[in-house]
Amino acid sequence: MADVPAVAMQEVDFSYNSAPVLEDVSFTIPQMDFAGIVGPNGGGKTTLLRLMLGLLKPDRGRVRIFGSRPDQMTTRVGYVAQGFQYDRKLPISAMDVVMMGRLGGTRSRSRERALETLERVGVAHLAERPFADASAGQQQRVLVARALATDPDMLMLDEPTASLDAAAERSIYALLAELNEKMTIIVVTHDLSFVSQAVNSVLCVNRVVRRHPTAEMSEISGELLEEMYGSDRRVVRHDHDWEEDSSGA
Amino acid sequence: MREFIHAVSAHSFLQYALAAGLLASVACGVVGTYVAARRITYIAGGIAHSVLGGLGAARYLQVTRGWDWLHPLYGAIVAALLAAIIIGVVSIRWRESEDTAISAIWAIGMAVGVLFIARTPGYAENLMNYLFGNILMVTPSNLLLLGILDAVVVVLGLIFYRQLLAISFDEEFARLRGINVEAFYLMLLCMIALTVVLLVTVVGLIMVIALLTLPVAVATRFSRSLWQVMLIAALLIAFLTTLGLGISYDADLPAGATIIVLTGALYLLVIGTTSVAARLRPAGSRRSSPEGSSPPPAT
Repeated sequence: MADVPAVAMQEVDFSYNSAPVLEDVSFTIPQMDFAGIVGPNGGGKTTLLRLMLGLLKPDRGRVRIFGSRPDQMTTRVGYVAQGFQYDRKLPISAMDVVMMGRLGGTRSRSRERALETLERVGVAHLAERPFADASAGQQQRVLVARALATDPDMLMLDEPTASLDAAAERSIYALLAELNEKMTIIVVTHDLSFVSQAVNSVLCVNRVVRRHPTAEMSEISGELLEEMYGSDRRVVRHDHDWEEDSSGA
Repeated sequence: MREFIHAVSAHSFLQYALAAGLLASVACGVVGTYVAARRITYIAGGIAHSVLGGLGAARYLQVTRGWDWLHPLYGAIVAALLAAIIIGVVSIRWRESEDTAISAIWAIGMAVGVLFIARTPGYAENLMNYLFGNILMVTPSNLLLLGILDAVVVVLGLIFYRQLLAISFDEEFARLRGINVEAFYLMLLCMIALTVVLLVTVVGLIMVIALLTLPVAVATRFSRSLWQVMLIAALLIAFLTTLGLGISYDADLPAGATIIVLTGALYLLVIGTTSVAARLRPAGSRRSSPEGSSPPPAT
């Protein structure tokens, strides 16, 4: 089974109301890979992830997760969504949140298993506290714990560090690197500096998708940046402004 | 109050009224908690008001056709479930039309009820009972029906606690766990429908929404989990209906309105005092630890 790719897409097209988001996307991600998905805003990163989760259906082409249809594989995939919104008034403890990962199928309801995953991500001390009272970084860890509580073979995270400071971000990525010893990990990020250090391969998404092993990254990174962002004037101008600002300071 | 307690032991109609209030409070605590968690108070209001159509139609048939068995409560159950399913299907299929559907069901249900009541021979005082409740009219056979509704709602609410909690917190994650989110949503709306029927007997359909939302809002202030909210809210509602019934009996006031005024007073009191208490508390004593200070992951 180990030679079945964790993710395989073949000639996938996807559009929202006839506006094409992804075109002719084909790639595979082997099992136990640590893959980063990068690209400009609106380039289709989250759409790509949602196709892998089976939350969206492609207009054309095939998506396979561990060799099967995504909607049949949801039990093997743990997911941490981007910018998670919830009702802050809902009285719910971190433990309650993690226990949601034990829903579905034949998973035991044991709180021990949930507590283990909270320990794994370093926030076991928050178990009985209200989820809404935890800091953004702690909440992110609880949500990772919830995804781990599903006993996944693959973990998908969408911008897991978007609202975190640099220290919290580093510790989340250190945790992911550790988890990668036991499972495939796919992370959507727009932080290219992190990508080259932490991951084994990069998927560049901007309507089309290219996959690069990071071993090749140092040689092609300039070319890569141009490929991904070169045609995106807004991003280029933004970079330029920043340089001017920093030189003026 | 002593007078009321004495009267309860003497009059069976007061015992039935008390029992109806207690039965309704259990379902109301459980379902009200889910209504608040999913923020679908407006849907609950729509279902509650549409019930008048069913009440009126059943009463009309009962009088004109001589169908004595067709108690208006049966009409209420049918109308409430129908309203719940229509609103549910519209909201699942055409989310953007949800508000329109609720408004339509709300008003059309009432209009149909008014038309039937206008065409029903005899006194129209029934209308007031439906709108504002008449808990003193509860009969043993009603009580049996209310007991069955109560059991259905509470058992469903407790069996599917984890699923309903998961859907309230994060619908997408629940869906990925293989939970049929749409089916549970429809089930919850039907539970609301049955609870509304229970509460219509106690406080009438116009005031249902207060009993469904205010005690839960109070309970949320003192709870750390959803089941605590349910428990505290149910106890509060039981207390409020019993107290309201007692006061209304002693002072010769309408029971439903008395219960609602008590409920509103409790809500304002608790929200007022907890808000003031929160403001007086020194800023540094808020429980939360600083960002990024969490210990490293255990290995």
